[in-house]
Amino acid sequence: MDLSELFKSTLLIGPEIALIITGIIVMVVDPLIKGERKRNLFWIALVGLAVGFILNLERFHNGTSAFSGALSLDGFAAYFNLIFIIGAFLATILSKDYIESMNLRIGEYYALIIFSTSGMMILSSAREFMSLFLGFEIMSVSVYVLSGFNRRSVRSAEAGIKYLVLGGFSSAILLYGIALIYGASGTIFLDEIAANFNASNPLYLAGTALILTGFIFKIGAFPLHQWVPDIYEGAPVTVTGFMSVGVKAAAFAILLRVLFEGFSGIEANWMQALWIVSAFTMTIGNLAAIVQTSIKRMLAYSSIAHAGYALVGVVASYGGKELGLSSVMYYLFAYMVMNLGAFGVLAYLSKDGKECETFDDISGIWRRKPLTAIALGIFMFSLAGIPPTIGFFAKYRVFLSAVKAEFFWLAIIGILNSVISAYYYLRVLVYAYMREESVVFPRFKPTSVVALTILTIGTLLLGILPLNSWDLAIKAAGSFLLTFGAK
Amino acid sequence: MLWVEIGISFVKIALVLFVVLTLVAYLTLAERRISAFIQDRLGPNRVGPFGILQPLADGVKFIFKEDIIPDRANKPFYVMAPALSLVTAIVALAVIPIGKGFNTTLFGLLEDPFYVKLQIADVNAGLLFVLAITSLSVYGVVLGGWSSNSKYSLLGGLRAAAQMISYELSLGLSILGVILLAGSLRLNDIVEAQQKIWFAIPQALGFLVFMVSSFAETNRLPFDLPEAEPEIVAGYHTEYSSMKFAMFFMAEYTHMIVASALMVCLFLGGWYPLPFGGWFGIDIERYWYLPPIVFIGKVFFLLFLFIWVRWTIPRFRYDQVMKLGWKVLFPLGVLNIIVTSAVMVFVYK
Amino acid sequence: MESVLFYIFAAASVAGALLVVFHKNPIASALSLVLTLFSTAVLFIFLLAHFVAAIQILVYAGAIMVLFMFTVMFLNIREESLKFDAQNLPVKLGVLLLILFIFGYFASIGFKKSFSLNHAASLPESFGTVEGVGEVLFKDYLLPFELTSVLIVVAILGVVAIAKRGTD
Repeated sequence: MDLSELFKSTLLIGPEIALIITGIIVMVVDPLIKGERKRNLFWIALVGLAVGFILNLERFHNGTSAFSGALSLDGFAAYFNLIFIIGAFLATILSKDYIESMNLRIGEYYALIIFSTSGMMILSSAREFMSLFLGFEIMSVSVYVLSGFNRRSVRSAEAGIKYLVLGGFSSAILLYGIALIYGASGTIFLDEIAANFNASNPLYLAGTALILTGFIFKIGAFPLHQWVPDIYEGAPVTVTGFMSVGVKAAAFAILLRVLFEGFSGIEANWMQALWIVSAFTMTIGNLAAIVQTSIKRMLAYSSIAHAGYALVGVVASYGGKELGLSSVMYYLFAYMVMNLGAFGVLAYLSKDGKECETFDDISGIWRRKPLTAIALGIFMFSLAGIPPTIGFFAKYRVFLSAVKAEFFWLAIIGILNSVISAYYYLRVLVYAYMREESVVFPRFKPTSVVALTILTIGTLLLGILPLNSWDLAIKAAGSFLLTFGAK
Repeated sequence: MLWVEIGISFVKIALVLFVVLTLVAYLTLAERRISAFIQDRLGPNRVGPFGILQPLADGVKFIFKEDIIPDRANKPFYVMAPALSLVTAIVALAVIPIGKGFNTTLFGLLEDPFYVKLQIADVNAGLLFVLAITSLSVYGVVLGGWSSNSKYSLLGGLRAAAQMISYELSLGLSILGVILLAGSLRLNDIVEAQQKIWFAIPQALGFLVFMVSSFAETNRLPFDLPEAEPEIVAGYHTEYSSMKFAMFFMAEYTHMIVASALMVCLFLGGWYPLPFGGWFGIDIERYWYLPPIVFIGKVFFLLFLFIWVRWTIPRFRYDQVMKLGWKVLFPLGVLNIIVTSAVMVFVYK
Repeated sequence: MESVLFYIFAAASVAGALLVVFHKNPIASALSLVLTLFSTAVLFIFLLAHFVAAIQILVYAGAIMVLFMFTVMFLNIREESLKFDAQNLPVKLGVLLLILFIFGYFASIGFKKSFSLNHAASLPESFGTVEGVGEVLFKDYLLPFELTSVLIVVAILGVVAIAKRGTD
């Protein structure tokens, strides 16, 4: 690779560079200003994310690759980047009031959110294991720190340390898998691995299994899901919202890319494994969510269940089916909108260093804050998959793709699970609308309201009129299949 | 031929060990005599003429002293620490070139002449090797401090670790300028590159940083916080006695020799006698013994400098040491690299 | 001779790794890790990667492990507080060995399948030298190299965010 090509490649990764530079600016400016003025860092973060968003749109039109194929800047990556950036943008807006009322460090918080997003963006386009792993770690390390960000809270510190240790362990497993694949094939580029793939070589099988294990941990799917409730519950609620949508989507992005491009040689094997994982993940997540007494923990279990639904789509795209792929991608987008909304309401209702997490904390909001109650209701309906919300539409697409790909049983398990899930989502609404209030709710917070309004409208509007968000997913899935010339 | 090579290597290793250990012994004498001179005293002058047998007497005394291992000390580590200290110090000398080399037939034993390099191992990344080995020397000090089960030792060990890590950074940074100029990490090439001009002149800033850092790395005054007598008795070797103590002592002096030899190689033109002009046409392949003499002469001068500084400059306070390392030397090292590389790119290309 | 040395250092690195896990004394564990890193560096030399070997010692053994020791000394962990759970030790060790054996068996099959040709013959001239590593690092793998720096910045930022006192 000569210098002019390196230069060209550097220009091509504009969105990633924009975010990294923003992160560095936030980080450097933070110690230079004092007190109240630190709140203005919020605007720097938003501008940086917006620039990244705009630069990223270009990739939908002309996909290309950079650094001799290490990064594939195609529509697939662009679609996922859209999820990450919008998620980070809205999470940042939701965080503003929250971190100020919880008295957390402002500069480091925004910087870590942005760095984490840049790691996700590298991850979504990585086609080479070294960049993949580094993107994975940039994302993860930022999130480890963010989950332990509230130092005054023992549970937040516990979440941080748990996530760090368990995440480090899963990274090690992933790295071990990468090492085995490299040992077997002598290359770290996905396309060359696919070309050399030899299913009779045990190293490939072991490597694939280990890499898959690493990804399943990050997704939070069965059997590596036990960390999810503790960490989601302990972390500051805005961080939980951010990581439940961002990290999960990023892990799915790289799962899809590695499985379909690198390991299509043993498609049948991992498809069966993911079938079982998906079925168990949905069922366990939903059953455990029923018995929770904390909303935050319940949403954590629900996030496990949603990972299961998205995995249905992964299984359904077996053989490189466009419908299955686009349904996963759309599902993750929808999940971003509605889940960030749900956690956003919890963040909105937190006050003076105390988080809103039990059912008592939300009972009776209908009487005091009817608009918040309506937003909460819409997000819960959407998470349960009740029309006319984006959640319904996304779930419908996933199950439809499963049926079309002739995975009837998986679709049936999924639908049964959706029915179960309605119980605990609606229970939240019972508390919110039918009980007496037992706590004093915080006052009006203008910044958070902006984000919540956007999310509520998005959940409803995209449920009724998908507009071109669905077409975009199909186009992105198509570009992904084009990248490596799948059937 | 292979056996000749191995044999000559062994001879070289034995020679270096012998010379270095003797030199260390006499350095202690030199230190005492020079300090006496500086303080207007006489110093040890009774054992042999001018006291030149004093190191021998000291050695005998060390061997016959009682070897004390403190109660509840961690015995394996306690015994290992001084050895580790000394070994890492001596091994670093393996890649130092003191001259070019010469052809020999071993007094007619061989048919073809054999080229003997005046260096034990000519490693491609020789400079890195020295840095890597010396970076391990901190273990001896830290372990000695920790395993003694004494608070003074522990404090000394901690101070040593913190100080050596901090100054290793500026040490490495100051060398980068030389590497940029020489374009190689092989010590032979670096010396050869100084034929026209010693690097101490274009790299004056780097030389300064390197010199101060190596004073700190060798735990010599004004940076001998790890063994500061008024505060922590004798630091990490408070509890040591007999030969174990002697080994720590020898390690310290060997470090001085390594640091001096490295300074000569990197900044003071290695075996080139004057800052300009190389050997002025003298055929050093023929007079092969001239370069080592020049090299060793420079090393002696630097060793004298080490001793001179010790008896002239008072000790820093601990926070001053850390501040100097991180807030002065480190930025200076970075500045040196930036300026050097900018000049390399914009002026010479 | 080379293969004899290889086995010595390979055994030393494995033994060091095992001691890291099984030794009761944290300082001893840290030193065992140094042994492992050092032996691995020697193995790098057998692979003609002198630069990597030197860097391995300089960075891992010389800097990172010293920091570990430093921390362990500060914490001053007593051996008594780190009781090794010796229950069912033979069973645990047996299971471990069995897994290792199975894994080693399959790995050896796999590597035999992967490497039939002699890779050493096709090494470029500059392999293992500073220039060679530099070329590869700053041209072919520029992106991972830069990403690593981002990762380190993130890690430092995280440490500061968690460890610094006060909130403002």
